[in-house]
Amino acid sequence: MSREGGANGIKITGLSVELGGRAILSNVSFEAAPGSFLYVIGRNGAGKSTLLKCVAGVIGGYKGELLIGGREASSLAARDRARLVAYVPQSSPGDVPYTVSDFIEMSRYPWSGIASEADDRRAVSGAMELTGITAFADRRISSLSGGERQKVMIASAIAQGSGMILMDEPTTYLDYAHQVETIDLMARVNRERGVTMLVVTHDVNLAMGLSGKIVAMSGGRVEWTGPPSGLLEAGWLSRIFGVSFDRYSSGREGEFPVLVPERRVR
Amino acid sequence: MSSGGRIITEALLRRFCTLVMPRLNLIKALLLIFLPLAVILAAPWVGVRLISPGDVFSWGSGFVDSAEARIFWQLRIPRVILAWCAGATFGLCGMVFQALFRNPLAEPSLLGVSAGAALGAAVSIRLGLAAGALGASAASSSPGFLVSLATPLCAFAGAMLAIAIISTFARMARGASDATLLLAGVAVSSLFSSLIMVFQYTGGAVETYKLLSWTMGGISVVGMGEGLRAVPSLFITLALSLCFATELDLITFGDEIATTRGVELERMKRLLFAGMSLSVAMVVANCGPIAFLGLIAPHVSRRIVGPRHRLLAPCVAAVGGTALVVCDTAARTLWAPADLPVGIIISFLGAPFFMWLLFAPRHR
Repeated sequence: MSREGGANGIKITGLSVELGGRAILSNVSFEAAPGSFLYVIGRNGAGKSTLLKCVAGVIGGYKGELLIGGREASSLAARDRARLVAYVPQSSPGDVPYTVSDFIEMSRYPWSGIASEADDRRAVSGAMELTGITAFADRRISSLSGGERQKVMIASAIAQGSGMILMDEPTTYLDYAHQVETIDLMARVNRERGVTMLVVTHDVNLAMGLSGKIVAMSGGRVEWTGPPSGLLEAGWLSRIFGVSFDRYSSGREGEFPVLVPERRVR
Repeated sequence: MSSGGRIITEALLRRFCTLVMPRLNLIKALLLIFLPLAVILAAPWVGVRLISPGDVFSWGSGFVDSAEARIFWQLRIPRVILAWCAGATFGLCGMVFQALFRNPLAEPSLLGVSAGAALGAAVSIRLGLAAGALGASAASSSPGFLVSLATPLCAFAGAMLAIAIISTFARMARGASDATLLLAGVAVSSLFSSLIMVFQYTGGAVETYKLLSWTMGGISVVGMGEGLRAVPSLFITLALSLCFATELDLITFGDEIATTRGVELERMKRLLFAGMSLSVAMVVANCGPIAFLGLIAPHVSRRIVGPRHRLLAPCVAAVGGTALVVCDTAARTLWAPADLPVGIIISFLGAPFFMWLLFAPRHR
């Protein structure tokens, strides 16, 4: 179960979280199969990040059932959990004095005493090659741009060698080129390595383009679950996001329309 | 230059770098081992009176029994040992607190530990429990043994009180940020300092002098027993920082990264906080609150060996220990026969050095 290389699924049943007496998540249930690509979408404050942090183990004290790879998450030690899920936070720390390769090596922490040194080295160099950061392995993280730093964070999650990667708004702060690179990277990690991806975003076009399944949240509840195509039906989008969308065809066969929020003032 | 020439030059340069860089690290490593050793070996001979090896050892009978030899074995050697262990402990505690609080300014005296110890010492001095100038001068004769321990014990109790207050606060305000905890330490520190000043202001001249010189930090030792009092602190701090080296690295990236990379954060923070505070309390009880060393040793060491705690911890111990031994030797030599509080020397030399360190250009 704690061997490297396998994908993990999660099963969430009736998950509720209160912070400071306020319900942030109420009765959230959904499932992600091993090796699948799942997007959680919704407005700011819908509870997406809290949900991700529960799975990651950053927030504890929830009610309900949260199974990671078939095991109840709250009963897992931090190291055991880290071998099952990796987490890429929304904003990464910028002022750390470590070099990129130092940081990627540290991600092997949950495997210390389990994996061999050769395995560690292979995981580190593999992750750096896949993300294309080998060229700045010896640079300090504090000297990197936002886009480069995001790749380093993703490389660290890959090197951690867990069967599932959680990402919180991975493209929000990036320019177009880095957005595309990040999206391609997520797709490759999912397809080539079979890693389950659970990605939180408010960018509906991003979610429609990549995922096999979308969980739409609103006010701490799951509003809608299904494949991307279903989201276009019956006014779901405006209910989830609070605005109406114009649809434009991308002109390419088999692609979903591009959704642009309708402005109220022109 | 032709492109072929450039390629060859570049290749040579790269080759040179790969050959020399590891040696550069070797030079650093040798320096970090031999410089402290040299300082430790040299310091006991220097002082008000220079002692020559002939006063202590002789070819025929091994040890010589002379006034100089007694000073050497009873005063100088224990003092160097205490100074080294204390300096290393302050440095390591500063290093760990800087990682735990993710704040480059965190150091033991900022967390109220030193102020607590000073308050304890103040109480003992005020109650007349302290023997001699710093509980030391009467200690070699038999009646003073318990009395000589009174000030260190009271200082230890004071430090533990400060720790108890801060950790109770931390438990009550669960989820309080590290910055809040640090500020709580500052508040406790200032509260205790005000109480110390009450003692100083209302005390007699002798008490006030004793108290003042104690709070400035000074190393004063009689006999090997006192010299070894900081050895356990150094052992605890060094063992903890080496055991948790990778965890300390990860914690620098924030609680979220550390937790999701598998660090049992709460348990580790509690253990490190307790171990470090205990060690600082033991050292402060014996040497007074020596400020600045906990700040300066880790920052200097990061410049030398980089941020990874596996290498950083031994380097901090070497730098902190050596710095305090050097400053203490200066303290008992410069103004001879008076013994300057070593805290004054540390701050006087440390402040400009630290400024230089902050503003000097970085290599990378």
